[in-house]
Amino acid sequence: MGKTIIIIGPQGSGKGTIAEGIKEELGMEVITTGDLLREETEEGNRRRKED
Amino acid sequence: MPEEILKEILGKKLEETKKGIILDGTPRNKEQKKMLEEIGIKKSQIIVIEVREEIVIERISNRRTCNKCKRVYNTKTNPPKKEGICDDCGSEGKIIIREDDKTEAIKKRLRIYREETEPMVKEYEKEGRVIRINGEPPIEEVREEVMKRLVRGKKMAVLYSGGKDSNLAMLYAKRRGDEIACLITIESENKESYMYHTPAITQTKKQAEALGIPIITTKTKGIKEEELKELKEAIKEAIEKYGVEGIVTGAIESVYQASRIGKIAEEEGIECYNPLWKKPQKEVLQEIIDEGWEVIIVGTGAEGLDERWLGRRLHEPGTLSDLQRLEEKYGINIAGEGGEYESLVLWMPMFNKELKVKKKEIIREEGGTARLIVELE
Repeated sequence: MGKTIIIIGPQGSGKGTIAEGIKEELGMEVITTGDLLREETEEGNRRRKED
Repeated sequence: MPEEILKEILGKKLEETKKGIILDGTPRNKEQKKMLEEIGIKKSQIIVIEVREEIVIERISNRRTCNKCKRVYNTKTNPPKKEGICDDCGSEGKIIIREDDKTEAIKKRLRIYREETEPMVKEYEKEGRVIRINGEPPIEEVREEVMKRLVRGKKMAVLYSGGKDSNLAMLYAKRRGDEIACLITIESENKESYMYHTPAITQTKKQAEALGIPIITTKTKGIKEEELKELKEAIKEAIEKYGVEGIVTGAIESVYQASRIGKIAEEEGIECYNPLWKKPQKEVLQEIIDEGWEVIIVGTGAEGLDERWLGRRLHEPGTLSDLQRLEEKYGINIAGEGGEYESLVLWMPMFNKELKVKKKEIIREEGGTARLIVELE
């Protein structure tokens, strides 16, 4: 596993914007928990449709 | 969100990605921190963006959203061109305040942050991995500060006595991502100095060599308060010579030490980092023992701790339990914070070689204190 950075801050601290703003320079990928869940739900919906 | 689902999704994502990852939104509490450790995320760098609550409330209460396309505006920093009308949707979109952005909802989330996230950050802090960044300036400045700290670390000077606490504090700064630019050793001619630990301090040059880090040494007569002037001069030298941006101390409980050094740092406009502050004594010792440090006792000065203790190795079987027995019997501080004993580090993970004791001599003093004067190879 590569290096991990964890960004913590209250809502409105700008942490999401900062995570997006540093990923290119660091060559890293951002995993946002909110997005992950959305992806997972979409994936689940798609699968259910295919079944 | 159920913990198990989050764990599964994250685990899967981690397997897929070959790049390093930046986690945003997890972990939020101690349980999630533990969960990350279970899937192998243990040695992360932690960036904490700090913003005062009143500023958060102000920022979010200025937030507006188009109810059609969900585009986000800010009444102060990024308003729509025409008040109340979305730039993209025109009159079809209504600019609203989302339920989530109403003050009561924000306050509730801030409370959860305070009650659940902050205690988790304290745990990471104990492991010495936290970089705190002021999130109040404009976002681009904050982003630059984060990058700066991640890429090159902060240049720090370690107030270095050669004992276990200053060495452990240095290791914590390194783990946080700092660059150790130099060491500062103040040699006090007063053996009972309030600020600096005297025995073996002449050996710190050898330790600096083993660390491959430059050292600034200076002498003081060790008169209370006076001795701070010499420290201030040394810190100024570190700033000029090595571009130091902060000072690291091994203070655990000594308010006298921490507050005075903190004041100098403030006057010089640099950070004062006390990574061991209020850390339980036993944890400090246990960490050193677990990592296999070579540490000997070179000064004793408490009931039960007589000169027979001099030269004893901290990681020897029995040392810790003997210290704990003295703690129970006499109430000594087992990490030696009250001057019960002084230690000398011969090896720790940042040393490139182990130091060996060439010559030693016991010096007995009035009042039952004794010190071991050692000469290193």
